Amino acid sequence: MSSEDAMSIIEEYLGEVRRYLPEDIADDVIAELRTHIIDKAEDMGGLTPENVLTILHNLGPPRKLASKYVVGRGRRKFRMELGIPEDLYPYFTITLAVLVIAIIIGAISSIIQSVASGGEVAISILVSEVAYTAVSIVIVAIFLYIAFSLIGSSPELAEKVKAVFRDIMESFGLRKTKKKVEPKPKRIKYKRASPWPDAFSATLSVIIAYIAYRINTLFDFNWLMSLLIYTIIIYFAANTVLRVSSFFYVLYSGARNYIIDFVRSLMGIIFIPWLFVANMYPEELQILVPQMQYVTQDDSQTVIIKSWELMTIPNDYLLLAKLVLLIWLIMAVVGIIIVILRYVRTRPKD
Amino acid sequence: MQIDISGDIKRWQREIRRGVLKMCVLLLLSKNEMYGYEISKVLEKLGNGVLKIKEGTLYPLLRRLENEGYVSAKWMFHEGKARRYYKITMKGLAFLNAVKPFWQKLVVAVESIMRW
Repeated sequence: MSSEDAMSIIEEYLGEVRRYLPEDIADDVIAELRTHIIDKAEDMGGLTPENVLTILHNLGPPRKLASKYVVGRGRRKFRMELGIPEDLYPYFTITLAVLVIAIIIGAISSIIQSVASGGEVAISILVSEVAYTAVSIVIVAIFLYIAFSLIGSSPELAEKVKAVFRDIMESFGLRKTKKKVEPKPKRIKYKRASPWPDAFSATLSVIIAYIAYRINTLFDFNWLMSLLIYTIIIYFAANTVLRVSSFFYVLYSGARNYIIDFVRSLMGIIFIPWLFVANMYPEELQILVPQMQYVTQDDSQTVIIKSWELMTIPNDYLLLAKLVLLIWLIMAVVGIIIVILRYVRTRPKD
Repeated sequence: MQIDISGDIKRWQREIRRGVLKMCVLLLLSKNEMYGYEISKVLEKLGNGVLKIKEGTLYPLLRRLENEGYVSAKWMFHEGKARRYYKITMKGLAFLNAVKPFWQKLVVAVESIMRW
């Protein structure tokens, strides 16, 4: 552990602080904080990573520190970011959990109500109830994610929202008002990346692409489904290439390659045209349905799958299929926007 | 039943300290030009543990005082290191001269009530 390690920790922290500071004061503030940290570390016995981490811990999270410079200024830095900051994330998960529980309770009570009134529940009602619940959860999660990202874009607003959450949690006795034990400062430096998840994912991608290819040769898909199969094959083939490249990069450098990861995250974009077309022609969607056969042997009856048959979606489910495709399309577009914004926000500075 | 008022106490202390700190920082700067870390050390030493200020609070406070025109700042080299030195302005001095007598009266008044 050298003073170089300590300096790299300082610069990493200051880099984070800078991101949330207005441009006109950033240079001065950063230079002043740097001098302060070095002075104090020397007073504590030397510029070591341990001393620096203690000082940074006392300074607080970068975003919070920067927000103190921003509060009360006429011109505030509002950086629109799709991505929930670390300190807001627990509140996002709590809110989401509460809403998901409410949606599930609503769905269960609706099923119970239909049982109470009609005597029995048709499978179609059950399926559509489950599907609508899932769709509702996805919509709520997307909107909540965007809302928390917007809140996180303004450090001042984020602090206010956190205070509101703290008050609510305290009033329910979920959070203690006082913490006597000082948490130990966390190490900011990143661990060496592992190449093995890339190897695993590349293998899995090859298998999936092959299965998709085999399915395409076994069944007589229409144009829409063939388009989907080819999209899947291209996606997983490209994913394999990128994962293999990433594997060797990580193996030799010990760090992830930003460009490869970014391109890989963006690849979901190739599903967008298919989702768009499928949304226009949902009646062309095909599903594989197993054909059952009852076999009686020694007074016992067993069911076996005789064959798989290709059929179009029943008319009753067309609306539901269209809705699911629409949600999927929205998720894909939002996902791509999030990936691009995160890349712009976190791209390494040379 | 246990009454937990630790949160209220902390909040009250924070509010009082926030008001006093501005005056204390201006008082220190009225005697000498100082840099941020120096101010925090003096506050810790003379403040009897009550005026100890977090660095994450002091530097934004100095920045606010500068924006409001109570102090001015400039980079200067000292012992081979560049440091941002703060100096009280005429506006800061005028503010200090106005709040000092009030503070002295306040302390005497609170003391009187305590002794009553």
